[in-house]
Amino acid sequence: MRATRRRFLLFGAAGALLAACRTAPSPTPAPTAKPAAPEPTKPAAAAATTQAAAPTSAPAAAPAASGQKSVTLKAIHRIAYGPEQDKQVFPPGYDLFRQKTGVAVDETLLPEDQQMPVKILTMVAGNTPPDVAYIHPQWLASVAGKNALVPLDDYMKDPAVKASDLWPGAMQYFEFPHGSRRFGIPFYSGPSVYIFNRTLLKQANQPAPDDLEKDGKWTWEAMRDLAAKNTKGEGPGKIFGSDTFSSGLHWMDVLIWAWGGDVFDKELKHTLLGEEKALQAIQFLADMHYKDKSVPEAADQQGVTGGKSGRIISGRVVMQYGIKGNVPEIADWAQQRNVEIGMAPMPKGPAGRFVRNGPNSFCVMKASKLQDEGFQLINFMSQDDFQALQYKVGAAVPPRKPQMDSEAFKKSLRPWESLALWKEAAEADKALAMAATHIDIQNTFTPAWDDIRLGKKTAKDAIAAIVPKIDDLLAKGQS
Amino acid sequence: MRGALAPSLARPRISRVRLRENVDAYVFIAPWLIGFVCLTAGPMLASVVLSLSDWDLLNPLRLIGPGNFVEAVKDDLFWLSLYNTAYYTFVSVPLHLVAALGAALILNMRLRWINYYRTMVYLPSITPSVASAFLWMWIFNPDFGLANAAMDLLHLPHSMWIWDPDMAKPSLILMGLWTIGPQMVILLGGLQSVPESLYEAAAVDGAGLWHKFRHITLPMLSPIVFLCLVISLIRSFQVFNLAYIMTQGGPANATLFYVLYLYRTAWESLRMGYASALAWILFLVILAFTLLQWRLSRRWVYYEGELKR
Amino acid sequence: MSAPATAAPIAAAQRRTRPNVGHLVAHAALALISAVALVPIAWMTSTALKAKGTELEWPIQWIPNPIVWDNFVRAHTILPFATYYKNTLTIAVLATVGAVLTSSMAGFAFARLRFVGRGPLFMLVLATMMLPSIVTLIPTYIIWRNLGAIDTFAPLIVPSWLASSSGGFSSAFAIFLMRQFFMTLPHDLDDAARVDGASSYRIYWQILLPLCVPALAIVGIFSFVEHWNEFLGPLIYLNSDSMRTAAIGLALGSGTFRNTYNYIMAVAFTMTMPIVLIFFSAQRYFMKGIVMTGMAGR
Repeated sequence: MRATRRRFLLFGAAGALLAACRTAPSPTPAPTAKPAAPEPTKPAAAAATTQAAAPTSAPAAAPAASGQKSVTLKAIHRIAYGPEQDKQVFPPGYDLFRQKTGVAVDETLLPEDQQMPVKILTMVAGNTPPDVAYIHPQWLASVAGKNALVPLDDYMKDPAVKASDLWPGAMQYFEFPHGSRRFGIPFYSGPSVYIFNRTLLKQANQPAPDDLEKDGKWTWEAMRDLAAKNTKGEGPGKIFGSDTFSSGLHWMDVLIWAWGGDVFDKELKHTLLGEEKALQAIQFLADMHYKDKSVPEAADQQGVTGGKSGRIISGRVVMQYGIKGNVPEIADWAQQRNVEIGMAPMPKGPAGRFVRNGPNSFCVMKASKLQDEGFQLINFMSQDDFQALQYKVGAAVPPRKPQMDSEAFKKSLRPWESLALWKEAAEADKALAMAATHIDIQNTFTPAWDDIRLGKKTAKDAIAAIVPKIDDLLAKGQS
Repeated sequence: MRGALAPSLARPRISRVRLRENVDAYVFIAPWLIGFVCLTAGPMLASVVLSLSDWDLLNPLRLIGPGNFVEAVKDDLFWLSLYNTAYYTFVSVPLHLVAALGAALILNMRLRWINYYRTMVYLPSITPSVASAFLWMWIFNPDFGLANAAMDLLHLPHSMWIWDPDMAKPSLILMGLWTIGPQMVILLGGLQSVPESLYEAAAVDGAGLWHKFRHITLPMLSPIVFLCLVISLIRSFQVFNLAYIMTQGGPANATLFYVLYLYRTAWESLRMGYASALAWILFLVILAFTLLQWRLSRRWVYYEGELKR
Repeated sequence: MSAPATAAPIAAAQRRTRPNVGHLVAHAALALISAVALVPIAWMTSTALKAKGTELEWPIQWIPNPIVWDNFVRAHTILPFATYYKNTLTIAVLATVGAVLTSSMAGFAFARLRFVGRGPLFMLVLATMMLPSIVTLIPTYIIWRNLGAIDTFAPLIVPSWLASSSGGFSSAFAIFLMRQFFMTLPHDLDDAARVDGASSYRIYWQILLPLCVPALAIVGIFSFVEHWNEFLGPLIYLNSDSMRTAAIGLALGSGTFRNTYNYIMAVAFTMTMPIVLIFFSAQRYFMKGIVMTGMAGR
């Protein structure tokens, strides 16, 4: 608190204004702060975890939090599953949370947009921070790396949290540094699988990925082969054998691992993208683009054929690397069109099978005065009651192992979904370790990948040119 | 006219008139002045301080002196984005002006349905970006897009347009021409103040269309053309949305414009100090070109109502 | 120089009055431009009427089958768009009135009055446009926070009344625009009025402003459009759902995992049409020649 205030005094004219208004009441009136009378006592879990609160929770702020009966958490969230779907999940979820804990949630919903960080950062820098905010795993390293989030490890020692139930793979995405402090508990998890259009494959008399898997032949090479064979036609009617891959290193990592390479070394000191195995994996993907032309190019992806859940729902893409979040949209589409959809695990590479994820969690902001309550909400959202609300939407794999076996989750699956495959994927799930400068590393990689994908440079040349830059950024991310 | 007025007044009255004019002027600019002092100057000064600091937005800032500016000089992406932006600006500003002026002249004709046409030329500027992005993705599509169909007609080779690092900038410039609407409207407004009698007099002299344009329209419109040039230069140097929506700076950083890089530096890399330094460098670049335009304007801009000291 | 002012209303339009090849060419060119300009609008409209899941089908089905009128109702009721539009209209109207008034005042002073510091101050006006707003966003936010104005419309309206910039609309631009238009007016207008004893305020309000109706209309349109579509300002300054604007609502209509193109386009349609209508009906103001306005009093 005091530190941030010192910072503002530097703001020239603004500083003077601020000094005058230092004691002004919090400008956000929290209009939805309805008294939550029913539960005057805090549940045991909260009581047990209170002493674990991070030492930074400002002493000046304490009276406000403990003195009042009703407490309102300011949360920043984004549209998660869709504007209609979210209504079935979040408002009732927050209500339930309030009934259980007496803590109300005042959610400011933001568009699913890249400008979301702008809002959150402005609020923090402007000293009107939210208590909890949705932090995407790809952004976690940046924010956690700047000590802006509260580590949850002490809270998680509470047996009521049942931390051992959680899928460790999905939890890794909220660790920073990798393998150490934890900052979130997913309420959504979406380990990757392969989703394919069985109808198209049947029509072409081709084996489906699940058939190949049964014979132990479902490898990345087999996938490429199948994609190439099923790429047909030209122009607006062209059928693509496979959907394209994100240029995100946190998506490509599964290929690089499958080839036996890695993105960074263990200490995050050097990138290993320039080593043979990683290069093979990257070149493999690029070849699908500019040699096989079996994946939609950027030109095909945007605008005309795209879909939020991947281009399989254009009816012109045979298979894609998919996640649970994609399921409802694909399933609805398939039902409407009478298309048969299938599901297979990720293909194997020379070094085995790897799965990625992009779980979602709130994180507690360090500047919050309601850190305990913030954790309570995060924990609550990963527990059964809240998860039950999400099953109705069917767009999330639950974050806890026992939840996968619940009748409610099983019942929520679409006929072509396989519980066993989701479990397998959640089990194999592994996060890419990221440095605090990961976004810069990604922004360095993307242009190089453009050149490789377009066939303008080989993976070897393009990567060699960026390795020193990435190492440099890794070094910056260490401090 | 003013020369005729001034000598007829006695000296002390001049200064009272002058004083009065000064007071009046400050009353007229008072809202702006208050706004500048209270809302604009503080943040601008703050960003000067930021440009001399290291600030990640989440922790207290640290003053580091001119280090950010030194870093910029050594930063490849700074130079690349500056080049991309200068390329965009110097090609698109003249093109934009010519297109907008052409459109304004046509739309100033007395044609049937002219009200509808004017609305149509303005329409792209207010079309939501999701919808116009759709159109341009379709136009640029290498397989079945309209742009390549046009290339066929001209017997030219196909292009990947915005997906080709070499063509991405020209493609975005082309796309930028889509939104000449506001500039067209300003020029159209300007054309209203060209006195008809001048054209009539010229017609009596038997002047042709070009002659009238060159010797009547253009000089009379020059303050407004100058306005368009200055504003569109300032805006083009800060081009952001086109790349943000269509290319995200790609492919291969071909459309990494300066403000897009600045945006990433501030909000993604969390380096607000460095971003502020970049902003002030851009400020100086734009200021230099604007002052240059100002200087040059004395040669070609004709003010009917110019104040002379 | 006051003679031309009594000439034909629409300048230059009469350069060629007989129907000729030029007109035909103009019609052809304008018809083509209009057709292209209408493509996204047509796509938007047709997509807004498509059934869920059929929005992205290729080739495009321009006339949806079936036509789902209900999309418009649902798109505007999933989120409280009645409130959003009320808020948007409030902001856009109030800000525009302020922008037109204060920018024309400043523009008048810079164009028609001699005062100490005129040149440097005008450069300062322009200079405020040259610094990317990204780096001033947080300090500006802090000012509004200290004024207790977060989650109110003040940060979105007040700047326009102080001729300073907010979001997409630049008051500095408006001041410059007004100045240039004032400067195209012959100076003997004010000189004559001054001899008659008119004050600067009267010259501004009764003599010059009526002659600048085209410029005022242009500033008004620009301000309205920018405030109507403004995204970043409302995103940053507004938190409560009851304070949101339509542009934010439009962005909120898009899910992470789901195409809701039909809903998005339905909202985009209702956001675009008012501006089109405003432009269409406002053009008679900026097409008004000098003469039509304000000269009656002389």
